[in-house]
Amino acid sequence: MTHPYEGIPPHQLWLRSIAGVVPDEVDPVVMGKFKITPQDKVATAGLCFARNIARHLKAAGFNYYVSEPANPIISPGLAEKFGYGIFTARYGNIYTPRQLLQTLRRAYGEFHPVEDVWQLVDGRIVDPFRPQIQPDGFISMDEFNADRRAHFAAIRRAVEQLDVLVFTLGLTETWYSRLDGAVFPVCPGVAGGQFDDTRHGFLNFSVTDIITDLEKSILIIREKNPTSRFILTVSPVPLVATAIDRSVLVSTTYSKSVLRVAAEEIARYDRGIAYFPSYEIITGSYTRGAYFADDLQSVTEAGVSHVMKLFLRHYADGANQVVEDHSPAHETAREARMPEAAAVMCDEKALDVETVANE
Amino acid sequence: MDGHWQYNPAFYGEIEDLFQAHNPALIVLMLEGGECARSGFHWPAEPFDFCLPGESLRPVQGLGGIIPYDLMRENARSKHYLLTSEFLAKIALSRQAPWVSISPPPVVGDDAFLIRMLLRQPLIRDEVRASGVPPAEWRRKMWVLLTSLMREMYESHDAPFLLPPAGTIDKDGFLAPEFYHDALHGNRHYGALVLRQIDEVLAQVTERETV
Repeated sequence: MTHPYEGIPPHQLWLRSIAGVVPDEVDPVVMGKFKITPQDKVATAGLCFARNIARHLKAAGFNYYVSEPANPIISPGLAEKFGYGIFTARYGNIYTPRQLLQTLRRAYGEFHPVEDVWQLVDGRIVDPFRPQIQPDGFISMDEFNADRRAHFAAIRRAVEQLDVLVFTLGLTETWYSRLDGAVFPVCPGVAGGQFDDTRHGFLNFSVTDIITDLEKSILIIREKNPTSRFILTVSPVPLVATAIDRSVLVSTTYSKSVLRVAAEEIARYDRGIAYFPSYEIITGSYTRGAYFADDLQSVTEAGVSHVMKLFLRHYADGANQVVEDHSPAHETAREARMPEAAAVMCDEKALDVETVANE
Repeated sequence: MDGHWQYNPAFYGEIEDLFQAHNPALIVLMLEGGECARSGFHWPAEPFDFCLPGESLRPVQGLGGIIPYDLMRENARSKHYLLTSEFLAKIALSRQAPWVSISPPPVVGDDAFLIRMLLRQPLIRDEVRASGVPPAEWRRKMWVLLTSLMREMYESHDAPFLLPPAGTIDKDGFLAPEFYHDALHGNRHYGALVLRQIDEVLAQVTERETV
């Protein structure tokens, strides 16, 4: 061998694996770190993009694990509207590893945020940590408390019984309580509560922050469930808004870069933690932006299908490996439904008041 | 028909004929009343509890987790009242008289009495014999939820909703025992009070017409 690049496999070469390949066939995964059997309980958490993963996992015959399902009397469409089955438990979007960590600690009674409840002007109650899970809030503190008890129990069940957690990293920007550091998925005042800069502060996490929070989260889960494995992905969906006085594009790049590096660092030396490159599959230059819808934010069904095709190819062990049809006709119908689907659970969308009002 | 439940279209013609033949001064609606009580007679496949607005949650033995009230309400609305609402919209076109709706009687709170009554009904007696009935408090809450939806539906069709007559509900929200008749209905004393309510509405209608 004259130099280390001699004889390297095609996937290490841009022209041979990216530029010279039909876009549909680009495969940056190369090899899965472990396999998931149809019996393995696959849990999900993260943000909007993770819900696509859940949908495809179910369709492909995986054991998509929902520890907090809606009661069977509830029709499926309504259950989804109220946040059941979108993720493993009814926690809504978990945007940052800090939020994941605090969610776990709260479920195990190790953290009791001071600002734990938001009351709306009509007396209804909003959960600051899943502000849009209940479209008009809870009708009373009794209902809120009973629902939260059940929710925490469902999280504990998930932690203790899952085999694989697919966690989609979403953001680095967050708002927190100055009283105790509790982070909110959405800035207070947007979907409930009142913003008060003496009580609320802004954080933009660094790589170190993200790594630390992810490691602590994984540690909590492994303490309860030593054989649990993890797949980390980075959401390709850009930020809806940035709280920093600069272009949202610059903030998006920072955020995704930090998350991507953190995921790499965490997964690099741990055989039970894999990084899955959905971010690269969707945003790679080989797509020429084709996997983004007209808003340049939502991921098209074709993009999701590409991600899931590779996920199943490299991680499925005996599962059905069926990826939903993304023929042009099917695609058109799907995309017609996408804005509605995306609107259901993306709390973050509420940040762009004008766009939401025009939808 | 067309994959959806609907009333027999011929029924609308019959109703129209009735309206024309009798030219009523007031139409009294009592549709879906039995459903409000009957829904509480069956144990759900996965027992659950739920809260009602303005009431504290009283823990009930044998129930599982809660379903948020808003979700219960939307779910019940879509399952129970769409067909009736459609029916009302259609017959509204042929009515000349005002109309009013009446609430079904409150639920029976006495489990033993209720079970005795239900065991006489062929369609449900095996189920009741095997599993009993859900707790009274849960039956009451189902009744409150469903009657509130019924009220909303009727009022959306300009039909005022008459609540159970004063004095027929006991302190816990159940039908007062002196008005018991069977599992679903009040007795003739209850009926007399309802007729009096209807009379009062009729008097108001007549008075308005006279003026």
